[in-house]
Amino acid sequence: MISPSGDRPLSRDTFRLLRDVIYEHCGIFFADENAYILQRRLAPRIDALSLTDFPDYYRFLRSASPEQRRSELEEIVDRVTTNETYFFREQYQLEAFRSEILPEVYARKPRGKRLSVWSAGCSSGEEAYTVAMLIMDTGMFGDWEVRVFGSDISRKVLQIARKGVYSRASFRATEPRLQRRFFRETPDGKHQVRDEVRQLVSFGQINLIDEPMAMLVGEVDVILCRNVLIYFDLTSRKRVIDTLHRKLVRGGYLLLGHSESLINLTTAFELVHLKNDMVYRKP
Amino acid sequence: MGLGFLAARSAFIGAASDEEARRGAVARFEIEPHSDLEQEALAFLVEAMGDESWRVRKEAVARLSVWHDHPSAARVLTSALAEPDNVGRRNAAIEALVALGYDAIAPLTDALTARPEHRKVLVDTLGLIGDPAAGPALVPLLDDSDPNVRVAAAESLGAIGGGEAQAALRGVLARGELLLTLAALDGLNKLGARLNAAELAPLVDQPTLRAAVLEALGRTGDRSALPRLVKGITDGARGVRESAIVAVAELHSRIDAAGQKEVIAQLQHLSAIQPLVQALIEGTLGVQRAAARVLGLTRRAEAVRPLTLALGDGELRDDALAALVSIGGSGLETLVALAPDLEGRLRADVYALLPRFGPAASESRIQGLLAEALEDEDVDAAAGAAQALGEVGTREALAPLLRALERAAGEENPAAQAAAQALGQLGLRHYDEVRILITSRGLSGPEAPHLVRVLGACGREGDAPLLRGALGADASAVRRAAAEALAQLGGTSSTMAAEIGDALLFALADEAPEVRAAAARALAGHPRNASATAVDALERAAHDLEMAVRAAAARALGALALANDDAAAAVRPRAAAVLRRLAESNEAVAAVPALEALGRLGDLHDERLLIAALDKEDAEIVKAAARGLGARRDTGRSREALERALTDRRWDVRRAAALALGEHGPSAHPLLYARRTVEQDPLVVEALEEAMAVAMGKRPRAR
Repeated sequence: MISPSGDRPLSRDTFRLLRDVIYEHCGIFFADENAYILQRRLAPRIDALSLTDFPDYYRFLRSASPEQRRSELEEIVDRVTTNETYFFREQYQLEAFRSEILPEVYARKPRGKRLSVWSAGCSSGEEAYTVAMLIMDTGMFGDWEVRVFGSDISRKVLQIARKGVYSRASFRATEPRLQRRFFRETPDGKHQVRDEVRQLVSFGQINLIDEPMAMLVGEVDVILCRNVLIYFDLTSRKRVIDTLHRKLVRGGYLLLGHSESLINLTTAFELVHLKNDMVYRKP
Repeated sequence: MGLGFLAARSAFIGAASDEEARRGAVARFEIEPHSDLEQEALAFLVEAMGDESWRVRKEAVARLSVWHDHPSAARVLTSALAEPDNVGRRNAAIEALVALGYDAIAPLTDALTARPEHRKVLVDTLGLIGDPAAGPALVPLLDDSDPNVRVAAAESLGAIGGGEAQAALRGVLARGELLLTLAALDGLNKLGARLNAAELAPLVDQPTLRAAVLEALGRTGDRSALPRLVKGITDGARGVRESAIVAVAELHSRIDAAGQKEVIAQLQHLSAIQPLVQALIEGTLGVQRAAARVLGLTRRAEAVRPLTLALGDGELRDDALAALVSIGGSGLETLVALAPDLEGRLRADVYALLPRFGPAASESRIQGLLAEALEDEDVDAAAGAAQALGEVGTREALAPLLRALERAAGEENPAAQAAAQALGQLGLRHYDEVRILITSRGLSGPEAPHLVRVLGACGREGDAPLLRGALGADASAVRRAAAEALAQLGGTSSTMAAEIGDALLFALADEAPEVRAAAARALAGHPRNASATAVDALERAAHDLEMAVRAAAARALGALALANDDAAAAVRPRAAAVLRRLAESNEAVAAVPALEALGRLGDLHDERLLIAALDKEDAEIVKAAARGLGARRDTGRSREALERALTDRRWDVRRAAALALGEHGPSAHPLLYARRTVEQDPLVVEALEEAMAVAMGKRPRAR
């Protein structure tokens, strides 16, 4: 048995059956050692559906009407992909983006005054808004057409992203100066992203292994895809990277999570050693 | 469709450039057993094993592995091992011989008596087969003139095991042949052999042998090995360090209490714990688990952080948890200081862990920390804190928990559920205070369902009228909670039990499906409420429009049919009759619990029904039928039926069939063993091995 949380144990065979259902639906893959995450995140659904245990839950998924099934799978995706995030997360990498990548793009495109950045796997929006804020903070792109696209597979987090209202936990790495400049306080003590930032950002529900959907994002100069590949198995990771490669302009940059790399995935990118970080670039 | 052998062979020869045609020719030819062409057919398959296409070779191996005359096939394959040039054929022959298993041993050992040039390949193959029957033939080869053969013999003896193999391997340790000694040590380690420290001591200074020696020292159970092992933790070579760490953990588990104290004392003098932390992060799972345990044994506060981070790894959680607790008081302080900086889910783990530190967790400082953590923005962390307070909280925790419940109620929030559960646990210790808190608030508002559950968790008969009243509440969530809570009341008088039963029966007519499902589950938990009316009502509920209600009703009928309670005796046959009707359904939701219950009932007349269910299309129904058959006495018919299910194309069906057969005792062992030789799926292999152990009485049966 996988370590129980509460009284909803998840046996290895039921875990595998559920994992396969999730994988078939959206390509997200749970390695054996992450089974307890699945168990913890889905156990509340058993009560919510008035079921008894995980085998019951699996049978429900198989026997439900197409509509019920689709709705429950959306719920599963929301639950298993939601992760803690906050503004200006992983400062060193964002410093590379702000002080090295953006100036390089600015210098390279003297005529085509258009900057597009894609936050692929934007969760509740902090990363996409962070990117927009950094661009604005450089002061370089005032007369450019700037677009930041934020996409995620989970509808629930996108709803949060669109509202743009955040509590204290999201600001643990935010300089007070930036918080004052780009946020306004709401009556209930939270903070909302100012309109000038929100105008630069668009959100959409995209599963990165769904290539037709991913094609809806136009060509971009920079892609941030941080801590997203971990959800996929090797085959799916390669597909995602191929998609991202196609979406980047020549000379465009790809930023991954600090524990991720493209080793064994592709040789289509070159590794660039910036002062603040190592990033990938499409030659 | 099959081909005659001659036609297949012609087709093969004529398909020199068509891989698929050659593969098909190998796969599809048919031949009568003991036909005159049998030897030619075998020769043809051996020829195909040398094909340039791996698919063709694989197909030939598959055919030979299941050849009807194992000994004949094994003889032909053994001869093919002499192949000097075609490596593909040789490797394919090895694969096929391994699949044939025990039947291949005699031809291989016979071939060895002639001491052929290729005897190393024969030795390697015997090792891969792994059957102790090969031991007598391998032992003399430890003295072969060819050093490669000597080493191969040691490796194979390590693979096959048995007392003779262990004794022979121990016999070569002192020979002074480095590679042979290493192979012998590796083999003894693989076999889990328990050597003595004295025979290992001369070997430890040899760098090539050190890792293997340290691993073996861990199993000696000899305290004198300890200084060498502790020294090994800081060795320059990673392999040696990891072996030392695993060995220390192993030694600790084998020695007496005084020895364990000595292990702890020596580890506390370790110059640095960095090698342990490195192993925790970078080692294989076995090394990581050992590193977690040894870090706990160091009792060092600086081990707390890496162990806490290891909580995030599902496979290390239990070892990391145990290690953190074993560090004791200094660990608690460090954990408490560390918690605020951790990510939400790790904070949840830390809070939930605190009760395991014993009385220290009841100190007011820790109680205060947990109460504050109920307001954590991360709901998992808040739930972890609530869980901890449920275990170790004092009266002072009641008010914060109730506030946490009020804050989080109204949403599907783990913090609210955890707070309610915690209040329930505290209600067992401080019932009067909990009851006053609840009744003063009344059972209305978003937190009402949780408060109802708290009363249920307190389990007092005196609350039954209040809970029965809640079954009539406006909000369906309250009614559902009331049904669940009534199920938890134990020790009720017969009058009260009857009233509860009537109320739950009526709740089966509730307009909200979640209430109907909860009522059905509650009836299952109260066999004293059993009546013919209840059985009829549950049968109707088993055909409800809502799946959750159907499932709960079927399960409840199963519980009634199996109840030992005298009150349920009159309705058991009626419930069983309903189950039989449900078991024939093609819908898994109701059929699965029905089949499982019929299996446990053990009525011989139900065997036919269970066997028939094995042929259903729905894998869940088939699995339930297999489980049902596993729960019963073995009959030849049920064993045959399960044997067919062992070859089902679906892995989960094969797994269920294997586990069921294991319950049938030794008569099932050959079937399980045969399947094990060809099964590829890891979960099914695991089930087959478990089942074989159960069948032979090495592990307890489920029933």
